[in-house]
Amino acid sequence: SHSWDREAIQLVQTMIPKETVLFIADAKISFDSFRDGMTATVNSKTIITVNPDTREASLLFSYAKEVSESGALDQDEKPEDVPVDSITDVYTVSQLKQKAQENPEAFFGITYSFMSRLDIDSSVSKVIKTRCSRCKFLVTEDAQSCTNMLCSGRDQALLATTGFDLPVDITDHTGTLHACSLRSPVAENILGCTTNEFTSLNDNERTAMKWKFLLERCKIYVKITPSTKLRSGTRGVVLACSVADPGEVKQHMSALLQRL
Amino acid sequence: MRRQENQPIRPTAGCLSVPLFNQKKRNRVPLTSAPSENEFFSHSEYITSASSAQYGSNRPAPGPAPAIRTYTPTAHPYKVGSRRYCIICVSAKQDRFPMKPAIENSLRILTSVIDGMRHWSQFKDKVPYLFEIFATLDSAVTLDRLGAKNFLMRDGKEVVTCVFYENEQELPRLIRGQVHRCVGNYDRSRDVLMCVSVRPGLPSELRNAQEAVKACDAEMRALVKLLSEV
Repeated sequence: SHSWDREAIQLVQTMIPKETVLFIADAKISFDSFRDGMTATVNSKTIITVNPDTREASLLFSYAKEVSESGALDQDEKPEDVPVDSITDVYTVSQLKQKAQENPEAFFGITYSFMSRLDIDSSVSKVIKTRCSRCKFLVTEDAQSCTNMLCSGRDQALLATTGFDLPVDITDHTGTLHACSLRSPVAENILGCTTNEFTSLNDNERTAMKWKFLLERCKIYVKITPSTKLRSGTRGVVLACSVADPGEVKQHMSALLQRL
Repeated sequence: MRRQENQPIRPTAGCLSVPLFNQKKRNRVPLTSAPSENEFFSHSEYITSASSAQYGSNRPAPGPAPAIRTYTPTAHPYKVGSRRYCIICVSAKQDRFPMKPAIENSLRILTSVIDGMRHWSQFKDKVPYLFEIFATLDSAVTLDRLGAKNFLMRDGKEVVTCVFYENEQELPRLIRGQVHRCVGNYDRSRDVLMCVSVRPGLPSELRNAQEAVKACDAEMRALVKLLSEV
């Protein structure tokens, strides 16, 4: 008998997350005691239509795109829950990427790498962001209510949080980890100022702050999210960052050489 | 576009249309693998282009008959210029896994000596990298005709010209005979290091840089080997 699981799995693996709408007809619905809930399973009777040409599908696509681009989907994690001191494993950038591909779970590590993108001297709106506390959509600071049509709190007064929220790139001799998240409260620790203090800095001061880290080898603690969820591959969140001590860098490099 | 009962099943880009699945229990229009026949798909964009090999770059072309075509690429209904796919069909075994690029193509930063920088720079068109060097200031700092600061850096017997544009920051005060750190893009054709970051180096940095240089050299040797195999 034909293995429909494998077909379905192979199909899904080629799809781009957050950009693909599926119409799934005749999935088998049953109670799964292990997951303690109802689950839908693909079998030989199931028909999967990829990106069907219907209005609902088009709306869903637009909504998913909006949510994804606003970064709202990235906001669910609480990486601060893990004490930074407990993180000890050291990785190169390529080792981080490789582990993310082989491992379905998020993991934590240290990398002695350069900050290769840290645009804190671009416009402040690209560095500090305000989000609806309920749905995590981006909102303007003076908004009265959430602009997300599907937000559960849309009819109520806006509850929002403002914080640092920018993408950074981390680079070493093995490659670059693009668009890692640098957010509050981690950013305050690294930059040494609150969002209010940052906003009151002038351009020169922000540029000077940037060059403390930009293209400097830093000791960066990261949380890496598995690549299977993301088209881009691997996504990191910065948990801590400081200019690296040269002695520590040497130890790390020696360890790398011994592994060869 | 409703399916006509007496319309012959029309092959779509070499894909034979066959009834899908066991639908005896269902009271509905039989679905077939040629989506244009199916009433569910009413959009005329589902008519495929002649070339069935126009898949996404990672996807290999499907095999020959009797395998029924897996995908029929057409314009995406929601966005311009991208591909979409129709009902999945039964297929023979095909290698549908996207190919992973063999060589990491993202930016690297290599700690290097001047000699090594010249050597590794010959592969820069294949893989992008910047260099970090620790070297001694071996000249005065001069201003060139474009307004950039020019100076020479030396390590051992090797010397390289460095150029720094004061776009974002002023060049810090450099002391002749002292070790400095430069990070930049090495221009092979002019034998010049276009620096984006220049500062005095710490003694501890210089002491420990050698290990980083070794590790980077090892990585580059492996990379060059990979490049020669491709």
